[in-house]
Amino acid sequence: MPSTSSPGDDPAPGDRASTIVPASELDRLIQVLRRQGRTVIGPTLGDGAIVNDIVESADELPWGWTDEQAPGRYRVGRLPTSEAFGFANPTQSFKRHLHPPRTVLFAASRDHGGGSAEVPVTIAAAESAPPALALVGVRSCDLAALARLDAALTPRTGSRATRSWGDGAGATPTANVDGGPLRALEPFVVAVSCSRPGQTCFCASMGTGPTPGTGYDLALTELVDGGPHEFLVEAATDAGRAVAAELLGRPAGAVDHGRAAAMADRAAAAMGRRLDPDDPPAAGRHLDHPRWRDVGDRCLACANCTLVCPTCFCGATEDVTGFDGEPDLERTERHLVWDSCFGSSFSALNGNPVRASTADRYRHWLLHKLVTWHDQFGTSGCVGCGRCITWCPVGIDLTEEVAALARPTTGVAS
Amino acid sequence: MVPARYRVADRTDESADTVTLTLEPIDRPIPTPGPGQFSMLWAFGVGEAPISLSAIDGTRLGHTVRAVGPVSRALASAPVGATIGVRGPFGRGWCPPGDDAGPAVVVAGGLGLAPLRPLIAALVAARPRRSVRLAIGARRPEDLLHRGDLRRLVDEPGVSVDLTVDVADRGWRGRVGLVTDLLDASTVSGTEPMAYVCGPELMMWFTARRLLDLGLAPERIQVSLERNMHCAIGWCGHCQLGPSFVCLDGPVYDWAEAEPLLAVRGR
Amino acid sequence: MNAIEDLLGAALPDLPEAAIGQLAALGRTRHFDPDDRLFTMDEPAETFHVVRSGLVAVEVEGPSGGPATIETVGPGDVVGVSWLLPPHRWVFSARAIETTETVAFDAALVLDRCGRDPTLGYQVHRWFAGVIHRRLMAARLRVLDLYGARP
Repeated sequence: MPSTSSPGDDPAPGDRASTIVPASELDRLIQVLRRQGRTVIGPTLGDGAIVNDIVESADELPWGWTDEQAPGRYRVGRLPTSEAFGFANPTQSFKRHLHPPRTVLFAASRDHGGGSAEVPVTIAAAESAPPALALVGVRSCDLAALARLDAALTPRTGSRATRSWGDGAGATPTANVDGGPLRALEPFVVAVSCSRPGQTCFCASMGTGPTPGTGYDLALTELVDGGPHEFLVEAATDAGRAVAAELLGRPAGAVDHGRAAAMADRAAAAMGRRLDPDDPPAAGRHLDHPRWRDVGDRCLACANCTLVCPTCFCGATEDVTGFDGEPDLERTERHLVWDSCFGSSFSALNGNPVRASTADRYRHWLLHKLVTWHDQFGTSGCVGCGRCITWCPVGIDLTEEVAALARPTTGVAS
Repeated sequence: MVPARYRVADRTDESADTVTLTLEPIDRPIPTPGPGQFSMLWAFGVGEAPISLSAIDGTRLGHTVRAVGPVSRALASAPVGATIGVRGPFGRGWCPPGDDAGPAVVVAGGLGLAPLRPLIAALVAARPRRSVRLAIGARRPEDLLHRGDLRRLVDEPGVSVDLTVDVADRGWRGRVGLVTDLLDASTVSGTEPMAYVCGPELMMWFTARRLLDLGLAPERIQVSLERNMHCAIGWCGHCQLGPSFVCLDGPVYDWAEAEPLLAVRGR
Repeated sequence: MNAIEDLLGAALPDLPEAAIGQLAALGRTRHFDPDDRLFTMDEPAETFHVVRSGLVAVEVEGPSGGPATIETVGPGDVVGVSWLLPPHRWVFSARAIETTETVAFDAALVLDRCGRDPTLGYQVHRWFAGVIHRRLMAARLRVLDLYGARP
């Protein structure tokens, strides 16, 4: 189970169960998790990119590979060293494990064989058997994103009191689900500190990195500062401690923690970008700023940003129907699929979109991510991973946009 | 996200494209809805649509559906005996009048009368009796909904019914014009009136303006908003209006809350 | 006479008393039973009315179709606007729906007085500018067909 310790709950070096293991122990870690019956998901090199995929041995990790990320640009490249996690972040986060691109909600069938107007319908809820997973190599940004996505996907009632019209009428049924998808999935989480933040990264200014916060079982820091290639392994949960105990290493001392801390400082100083926390609320007040139209002209509404964003959660429902070879039995399934607010019909009301222009949709996305997420969930929706900047075909940078939108206009639209 | 099965027990044609379906539970019924709440109605193999309750009678649910898209067309054409999926009830409904409340002013435009109908029934049944003033607008006389109810309400003590249509033929002996023209100083006379408004968004906008001009405070004007909904549980993200999820925080808002949200076009 | 002044004063609160008096002198009360015509489309616009009680339908009739009511006018409001401008012919018809009392004005007389007394003329034209504006806004909103279904 991911840790439930609170942020800032940072045991001093020596208080935690922390060990130093040689890099070669990474494979043992993967095998221990696999023997627990877990499918291990981790970074691999595939199709010219660093992508999360099923990992069966440590050989499949992208040793010695790094990524170069810039607005609208992504390349992999070779490092002179042989780090396993020498890149900023994989192309996709671990979102698809909490929030699959397609989920079956229920299945139903309709039997036309009776011949009467009353056609009986049978409905069966989809059985959910979430796979046992281990998520390895979760960057601090993606780790924070897991918690935020989980909060958004936990069914809840509204922010205001329901009306009561006597005898209980008018109340909203509370969802009969305990917690969100993270609780249902219970993945084993191996977080990893960042040593080489990317040019598009800004987790430090979002308060989500470069060292992992809460929510992991084990946190790794890869030590590649000229000394031996080792990992600092820190356990935050009993499950984490049990797995760490199976690795061959030595207890971590003050020097080791010092190396890790120095690397974290270097990473924090090497962030490619920065987002000023005062900018989002100011941008949220300037709803008529001409910059919205300006970015709307550049934006292609391609939805790449929402696909790669680790916290975007919007989904659409659809019915998938067929007769499946049986002449009278009509079957259907109701699915939940990923959707994007950049789609032209996303806000359609009686056939007409409420957010008709790209500028309207960009404004909605940006303000939701950075401003109204606070009203809804008490945190920012952005974890500073930078993927929306990297994967935007026209290189729109939300840190730049929000900074411009926070400034009052000069009275002349560009 | 799994619907309960309901059977179409009855259907009433309200107008050329609008039908009221009366549904009875096959499976365990959903919790009793309150006036102003809505259900997600599922048409097998087609999809779901958010439809307000237009009648609440024990476990029998009334929904008035206008055929405008594939889902609503499938629902509106469901024969008696067909199975419809129902999830709900959802949303924040009309605020019940407090003990010290004065007259109720109900303003309906077109299909907006449907979500107001359970409210009107509750207001008329409430004791002690309060003054209920209905102002109802429709496109043509044949588009007026729930005509049986309206005929009965005219005879109900303490209830006034004013109707207007956009255009009519010679058979119509009533008013022709905007629904806002039905509202004057006498509409809002009395202590602490509460207004309940439902209809197309632009109609609600002008009606709220008119009521404000007549001296009503924005907190005393309730409106029912509508947005694209897929889940009704704050999950799918479609219904967001600024920071608000209309399925969770609405659909009923008071004008003090709604006006700033609606004032920004394309939000 | 007093009753007519009262009616005009209530209908036109911004009109100065002197103008009310002048106008009132030009009006006379008329009575209509249900379905009585006030005026018919295409005819010369000779008389316009201010409704005192009852309800008047403003209608349009097509060559083959029956009349469609496009507006109803109630107490305190004006029936007939096209008298004000050339060609001074009615575009629509007007018919009493209920028993209706009006104050009727001779259009030619009012126009003549307006020509000779610019202050009165200004006040009358301001009055009708308001009526026309209100009806234009209402007509435009109805053109939007807000209650109509969008496919």
